[in-house]
Amino acid sequence: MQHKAQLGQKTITKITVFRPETDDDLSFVDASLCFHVADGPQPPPDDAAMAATDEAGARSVQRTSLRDSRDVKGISVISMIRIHEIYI
Amino acid sequence: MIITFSLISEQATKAHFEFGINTKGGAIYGLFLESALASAKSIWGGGTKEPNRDDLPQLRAFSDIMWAFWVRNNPNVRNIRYFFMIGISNDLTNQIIASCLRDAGAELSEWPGTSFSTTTDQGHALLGRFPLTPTTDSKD
Repeated sequence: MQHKAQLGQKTITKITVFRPETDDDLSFVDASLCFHVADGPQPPPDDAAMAATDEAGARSVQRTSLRDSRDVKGISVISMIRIHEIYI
Repeated sequence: MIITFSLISEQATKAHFEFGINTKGGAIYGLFLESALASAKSIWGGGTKEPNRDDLPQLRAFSDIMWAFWVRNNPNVRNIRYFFMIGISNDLTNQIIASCLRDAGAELSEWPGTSFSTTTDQGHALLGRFPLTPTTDSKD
């Protein structure tokens, strides 16, 4: 199915199978379908969606470390490592 | 409003869509649909060879075309209540419809016809989510 944000959350509740009315004397008429569209439930917020993915809950870890070291010429070099770990 | 629409790419696909839109009542009517994929397979590949997707126009699905007309001059885009597919000729779809009617002990009849909730197996089958008789090799 294609999804369009402008439509909001929609769902199909039921499908009706029917034969169009016709004055023609036809032995066979192709079937038609009607999909009934209704507003659907809103999706849970992201936090709830993440929590639901893991019984232990989701957690996010950020670590930042600064290291002051000297390069081969003895000049101070500050390097920073930032690590983001996301557990879901 | 009835819309007839043809798509072209570098080489014509002869894709063809006829559909109606009622923005006030919130209804879309699919009357005749042949996607670029299906028509290109027919006229480029003699009905047997799948076309190269890169050769097809980018806007090629019915939903692409229909959406463009649905959003144009529509004061309430969210007002979609009914989606009709009129006169279904697709063999597989008609087989599924026949199975669902048989399951319900019903015959094809004029409106109000026979309705299937989407919580039922028949409703799922008509939605196209999965086949009525599950196969072991595919869930699609």
